[in-house]
Amino acid sequence: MRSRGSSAMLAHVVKTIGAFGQVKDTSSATALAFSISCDRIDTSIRFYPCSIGPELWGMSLRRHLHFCSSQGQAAVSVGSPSSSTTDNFLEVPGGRLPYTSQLQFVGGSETPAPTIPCYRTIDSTGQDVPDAHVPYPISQELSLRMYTCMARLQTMDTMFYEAQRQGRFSFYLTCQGEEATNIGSAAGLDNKDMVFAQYREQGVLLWRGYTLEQFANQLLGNAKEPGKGRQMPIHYGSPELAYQTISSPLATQMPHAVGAAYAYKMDRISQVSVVYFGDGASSEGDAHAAFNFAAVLGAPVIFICRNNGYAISTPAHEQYKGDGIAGRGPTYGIPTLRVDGGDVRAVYNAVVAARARALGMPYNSGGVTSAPGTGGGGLGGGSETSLGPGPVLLECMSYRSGHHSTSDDSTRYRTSEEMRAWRARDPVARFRTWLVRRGWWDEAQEAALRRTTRVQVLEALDAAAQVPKPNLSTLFTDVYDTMPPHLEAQRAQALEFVRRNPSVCPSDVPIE
Amino acid sequence: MQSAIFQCRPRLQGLILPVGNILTTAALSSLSGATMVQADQNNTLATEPLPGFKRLNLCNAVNDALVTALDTNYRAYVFGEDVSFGGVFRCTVGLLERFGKERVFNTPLSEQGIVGFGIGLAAMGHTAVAEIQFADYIFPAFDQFVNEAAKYRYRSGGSFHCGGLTVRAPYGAVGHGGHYHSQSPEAFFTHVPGIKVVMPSSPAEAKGLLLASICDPNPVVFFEPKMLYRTAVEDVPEGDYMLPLGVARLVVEGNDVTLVGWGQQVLVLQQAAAQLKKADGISCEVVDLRTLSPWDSEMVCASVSKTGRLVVAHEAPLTGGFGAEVAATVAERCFTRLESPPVRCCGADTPFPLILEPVYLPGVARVMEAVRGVVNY
Repeated sequence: MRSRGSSAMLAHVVKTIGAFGQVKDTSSATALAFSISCDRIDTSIRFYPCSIGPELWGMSLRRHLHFCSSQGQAAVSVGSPSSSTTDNFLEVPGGRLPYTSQLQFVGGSETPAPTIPCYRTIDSTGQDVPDAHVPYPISQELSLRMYTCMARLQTMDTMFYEAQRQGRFSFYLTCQGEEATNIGSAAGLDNKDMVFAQYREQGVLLWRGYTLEQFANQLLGNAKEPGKGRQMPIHYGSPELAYQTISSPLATQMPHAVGAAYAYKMDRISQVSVVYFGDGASSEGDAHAAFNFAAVLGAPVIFICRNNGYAISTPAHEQYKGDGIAGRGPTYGIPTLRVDGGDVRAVYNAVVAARARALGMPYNSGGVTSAPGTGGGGLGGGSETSLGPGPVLLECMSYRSGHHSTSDDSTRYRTSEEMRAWRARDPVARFRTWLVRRGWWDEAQEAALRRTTRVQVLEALDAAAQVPKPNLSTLFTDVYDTMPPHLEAQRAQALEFVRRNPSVCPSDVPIE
Repeated sequence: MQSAIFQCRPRLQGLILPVGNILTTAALSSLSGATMVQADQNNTLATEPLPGFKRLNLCNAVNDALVTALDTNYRAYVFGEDVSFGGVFRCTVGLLERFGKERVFNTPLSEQGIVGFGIGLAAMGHTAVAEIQFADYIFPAFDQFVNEAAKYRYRSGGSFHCGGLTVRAPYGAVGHGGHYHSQSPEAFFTHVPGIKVVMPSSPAEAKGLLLASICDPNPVVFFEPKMLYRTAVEDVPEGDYMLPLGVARLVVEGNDVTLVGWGQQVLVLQQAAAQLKKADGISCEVVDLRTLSPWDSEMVCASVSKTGRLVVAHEAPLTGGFGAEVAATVAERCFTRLESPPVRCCGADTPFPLILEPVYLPGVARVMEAVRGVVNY
């Protein structure tokens, strides 16, 4: 937040000081200026019309003069031309820039930057893409773990959505169409990597071991859920599973993830932080701040953008004009990859590679490597990098098959043709086809899995409904680490009021 | 999630400071403010600082606190715009050289990034001391304060918290700051449950309150009175100490009227009190709130119950200012003890002007007039 006119100010001061010391050229004036006491500088500033006080200007000015004299440079050029016409580069504090004598815009619709292609290894019909580069192949065991998790996720989402419709709780949102992004990325991480999610990443929790009962407890806001019924449904959190509690505002979690990554770096721990966000959220200022801070500070954070084509009713072409979110990464100095978010193997590979890159470790860009698993390992030969830790950006392209939430009817803003076309490329079905083709899965197993999951979800909901709600005092706890006197007073007042007027309080809330 | 491992600092709540210097709370409270120097007043400091004390201005006292915080906790960081070279107010001078660029660093120019990044660091159990260059520029970070920092613990049921976050920002009139280098935004922050708002009024107060804020396991916003950075000089205890948060300070004892203020306004109240005593024989009790959220309403109400009169003063505009909170609470709790209505003496309901700053501010003359008004009600 600098005032305008700084270079004019500088020129004035140097000229004035030059007059004091009777020096002729600006670099001598600069050196002289620095050696003159600060009072002199303040005096010359005082007479310069400026709305910022002398003290503040003196600071910036002295710093500038110090910098210039330590570099052996003139602080400001007051009319003397550059002595050299053979220089090929412009050296500025931001770096070294080549010159061009051509006036040519880059970017924009006449001269767009090339569109970043989308990495995939399994096509939309479930067939291997020939000659696909799969540095981290998935074993049968891992493939089945991923598939069963995707299928369970899909069934869980369907049933919880229905349960909301039946009035069992107030709100739900599914990740239909994005199961591969959720599970593929979760599988590629280490289970202790701290996750900062947006709200459509329940698959990551499911992969890490969040139980159906735990989901149901939060949806019903009962006394067993860690959030104590304070937030809307789907605002899960779990310190045990390294999954930060969801908050509704979008993109706010992005700078948090950068800070968390910096903490890992300072602790010299080989973990990364991971932040999920949507195409809409990436328009927020916090997204820009997060990208920039991560790059400048070298924070080992994986940015995973779920570009599912919609932000509620706003399609992606009304959200941005450039090359999506991936197009922004390189301009921040962030290594970037765009991935087919419906191809779970591609997502998995992208995340394993991204994780290694974020840690500044070699990541495989050619040939087969050691066994994949829950991620973290799998660092084989391939490209050697001695880069430090830093961010990586992945843009996973997919489609939001469901409505934005139970509060939305997306038939009002998109066609059934479009939705049908995408359901035909459903990532779960696609991966199932791939598995069946290999003989690793069959219809009987599918039917059994779906049936079991349905029963488990219903049981979880019933069990959650039996648990009482949090008691009244929890309204006042956790605002601070301990309860300050004014909250003690309010709590006592509230209890006393509700005892006299019990109908004010929900009937399943213990009045204590 | 790991919690920070750092030394617990001694708290001065009726205890004797065991680390290094012997110091009692009585001695400290009599020192804070009482020996302060202003540019236009006679020097009231003793020739030599007391043993175990250093004579520092407020900016140096803040610097001292930051050195202590970084020294005693290897997972503490100081960051913000321009902090590396020492900061535009010199509060971070020498930190880079002493603690290195991983722990003391410049950030890109983005307040929402600075506070969001700090929340993330704190959520992992580290201690993040962020600087916002002027309180006037804190607003891009307001969403991060209100919707994230303040609710981090509550919304997770205590599973997560960002208590290791402290955000420092210079606030208040400086004589030539105009709209955008003079604001006092504390009222916006007191309205958000979950963060603490702390405002020191002198160098010794600043060091002790800043160390307490950094150590407090809740996110704190710490507004430093920029007018006092250089003009206030005081004997500040060497070494590591804290002053309690949520506890107001009795600056001057009196019987006729209670004057409540915070930050640089406390000095104005002290001067007004001294002149009222001399000119009118009015005995003013001056209270420095120190912490605005949560604030020490017990102490203020006890004082007003004694004096029967309240004048609360602040630079921030009158309407919706924190003075309204103090006045309303006092009216509610001390009604039968009041001799006159609680009165607020505040900045005008206008943006902060440049040329007309002396007219805008609740300076000594205006405070004195307000006091005479309630005394002669």
